[in-house]
Amino acid sequence: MNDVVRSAKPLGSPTQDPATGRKAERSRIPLVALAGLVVLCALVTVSVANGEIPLPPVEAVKGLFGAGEPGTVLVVQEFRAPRMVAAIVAGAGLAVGGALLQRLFRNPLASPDVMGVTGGASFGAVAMLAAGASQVMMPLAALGGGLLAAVLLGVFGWRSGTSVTRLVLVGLAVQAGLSAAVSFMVVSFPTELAGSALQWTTGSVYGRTWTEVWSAGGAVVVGLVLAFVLHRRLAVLDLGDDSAGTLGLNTHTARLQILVIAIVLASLAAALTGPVAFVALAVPHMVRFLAGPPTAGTLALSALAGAVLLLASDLVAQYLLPVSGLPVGVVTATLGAPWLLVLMIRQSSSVNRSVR
Amino acid sequence: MPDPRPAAHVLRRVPLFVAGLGALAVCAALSLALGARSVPLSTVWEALTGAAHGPDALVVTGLRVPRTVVALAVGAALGVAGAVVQGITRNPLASPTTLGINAGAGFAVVTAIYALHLTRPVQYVWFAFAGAAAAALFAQALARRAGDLDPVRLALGGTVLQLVLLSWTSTVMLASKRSLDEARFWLAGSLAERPLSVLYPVLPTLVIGLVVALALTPALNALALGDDSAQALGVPVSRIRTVGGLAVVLLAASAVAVAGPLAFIGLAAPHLVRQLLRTSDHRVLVPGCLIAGPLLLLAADILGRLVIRPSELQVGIISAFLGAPLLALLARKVAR
Amino acid sequence: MTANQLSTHGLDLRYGDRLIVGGLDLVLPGGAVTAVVGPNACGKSTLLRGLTRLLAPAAGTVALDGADIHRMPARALALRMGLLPQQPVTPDAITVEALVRLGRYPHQRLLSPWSAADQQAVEEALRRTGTEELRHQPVDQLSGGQRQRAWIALALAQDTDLLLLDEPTTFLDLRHQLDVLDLVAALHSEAGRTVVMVLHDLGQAARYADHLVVLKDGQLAAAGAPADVLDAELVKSVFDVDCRVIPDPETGTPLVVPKGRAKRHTAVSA
Repeated sequence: MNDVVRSAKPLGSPTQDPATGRKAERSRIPLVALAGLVVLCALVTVSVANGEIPLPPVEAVKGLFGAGEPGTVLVVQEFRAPRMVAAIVAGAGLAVGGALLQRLFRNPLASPDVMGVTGGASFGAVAMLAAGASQVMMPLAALGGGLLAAVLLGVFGWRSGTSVTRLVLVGLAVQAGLSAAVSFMVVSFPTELAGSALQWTTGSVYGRTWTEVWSAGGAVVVGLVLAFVLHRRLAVLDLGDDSAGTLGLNTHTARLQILVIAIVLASLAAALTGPVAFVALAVPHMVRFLAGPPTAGTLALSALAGAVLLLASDLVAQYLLPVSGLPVGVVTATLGAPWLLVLMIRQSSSVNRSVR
Repeated sequence: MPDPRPAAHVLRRVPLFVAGLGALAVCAALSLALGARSVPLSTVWEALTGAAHGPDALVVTGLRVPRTVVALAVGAALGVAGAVVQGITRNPLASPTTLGINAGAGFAVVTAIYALHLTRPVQYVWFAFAGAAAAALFAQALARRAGDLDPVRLALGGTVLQLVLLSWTSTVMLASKRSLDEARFWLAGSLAERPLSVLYPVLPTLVIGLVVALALTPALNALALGDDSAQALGVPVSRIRTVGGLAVVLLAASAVAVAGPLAFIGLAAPHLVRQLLRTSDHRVLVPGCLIAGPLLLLAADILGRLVIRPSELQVGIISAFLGAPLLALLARKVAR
Repeated sequence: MTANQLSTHGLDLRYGDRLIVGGLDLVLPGGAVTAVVGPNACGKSTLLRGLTRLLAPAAGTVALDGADIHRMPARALALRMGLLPQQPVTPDAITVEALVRLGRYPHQRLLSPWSAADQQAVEEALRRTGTEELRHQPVDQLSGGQRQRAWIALALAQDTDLLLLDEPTTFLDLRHQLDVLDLVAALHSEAGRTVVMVLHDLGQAARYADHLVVLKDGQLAAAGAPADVLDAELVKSVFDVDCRVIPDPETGTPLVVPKGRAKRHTAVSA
């Protein structure tokens, strides 16, 4: 059973000095971060400038900050900004959630799916649809569903002396049960409703309002901050339970804390955009290939990369595709997958197993 | 190490195997008898022997016998595929779906429905098989490294492939309401509307897959000791993995082509056999899955027919519902 | 009672239903080097896990300077006791310096930044273990001996009075075994650290330890200075091996020489 959770992680480039800030030996993090920020700014500009009423980019960006013509400001701030901010925040939340889970479980396949969170979010949203509630309630329902999954996980999987393997199995079980429920509902609904359910479960950023963004987005930001504050604990946990215990860390509590943060981040992100599973799974890997082994710096980079990926996908879905109204989840998977696979194949060094 | 003399340890297990076959027979009988209308067992017997010809008998011979036979075949294929894939990846969480097989089949079928306006499961068979095989082979190609399959790459690549194909499938369904309507039932995995003719095209691949899987069992035992030890025992590790992978593809693609994507049977059957027979010996495990797989599938199917009588709940949904507590139970047994 | 003295009282340690260590009363003298030896599965590693609070006692207590360690806050104990585990889990591609830095964890509060004292402790640890030039190398690419020294550096950076090592020399070649043991001896002699280590080699244990603890089947078979405790009778009763115990020609400490068993090893003359 040990193979389940102790699995190999690909090596980043050799002689990486994690970003200690001192004597950084060819750390790629600053470079990648800079590139990411530049791309993000470009995407933000594109996002606020385009739409039903095309606006000159400079005007649009000014409008974002409240300067310039009132008409422009209105369009940008009321209609375009919420969607953009939602994509950024949700992308960051999903990526960091995925990164935390992968480190916690020492398994490159760990993602909120494994915890049943995405299944739960889908379940909540679809159940809300079945109950006939309006679109407004969906994010809340998704959040509720994700947390329900977490509760189920806790009830069935958590015992003192947590076994990671057990958690993974129970997480898969919860995911399976909840997605079976979703499948059931999709099959039993009349077609239009099934279509809406499908739309939601594939992920979409359409029609987000500021209320939703402030509440869910704000919580995501809080979660992100917590994740960074607790990063030292995660680094110590990486040393294994024995070493971590003797360094004075209560491993049980620390794992729980980080797990909760990861689940909350993923649930909130799913509340904003629906369960876009690919971001949580793939972005941490991409960041590792680009910038080396996990540190606080790469965690920040994951947040940035997740935001970039989701926002880019949303823009592609809105403006570049012939079919309109396509869920953003489709684009993220299609954009991200080849890139990840190429990175995976190009990585030439042999896959090491961590020293047991 | 398992007992090198096959006769002895198989003999010890014989009573359990007989019990398993008995349970399977009972399930099959129930499958013939139960459904939207319950047919008494005596009538079932008469229908099978050709003595009765009433509407009940027709239901039995016309609908339920094919359905039961299909369930037996698909269950066996999935069970064995699960055992083999867990053996070659040495990962008890592996299942035939992790290679992207189900997602590949789903995408191919939905595209076929969209482009060619197909409507019946019998028509989907070739597309499903092709899609499943293509996806699985692609996943295996991605995982090739130094002539061998890297299990981590396989799992990661398979999962990524699955996500992509699922999203494309959703796209097609969102683009065309008709496709959505047709496809969502097939995608849930079902044994309904599966006459025996649905089985014929995949029968060769099924049989080949089974034969190959059975032939691989001693090698799988050696593989469980670790690549180095297996190599030292004279097992050509990379070749066994490749052949095993092919067997899995043949079996799982055949199964999904016939019944649609079914979760958990492939994952659960080997675990069930391991727990009940207390063995990891593949020479016992694989034949055991030949019984456990159909048992699980038939049980799920019967349940699906009864739970919302007179209409029916797809077996794919039931199996996922059943699989969840099964996994949780498995989790409890994990020590540490 | 000496300072930094670990002691156990009626200690029972279990894994599930199996009793590994039963009713153990033990005193590990402070300021000394203690070696714990015994046959396989006698409970040596289990004892160490019990001493470092990784395993809760099924009965009895473990005390540090008379205070029950299970009642101490984890951080407080971590400031006094460091451990080198048997098979440490090296995080993927982590550099030596990053690894050693983690040893400062017990000294840091939640939001406290990296302080000068922290940096100094890390530098000192790297220097003492001779791993300064390796600081930017990934630990999992080092040789066994170097990796072991990196982990000892982590325990050193933790800056504790007690250092516990679980089989620090298993899997190392002779040269590196001696390097590690010499390092441990130096750490003891320079700063008076209390050291407890689990060893397999009786001769090494006798050479480097002030105090020897011999376990068999989870019970104390003998405890005391090696010269007092290690003799042929003990080896026979604990390890079931016929031997001669002679003074080590180099150090004078007891050296265990097993009697010849196979035909080709028949002694030339008695």
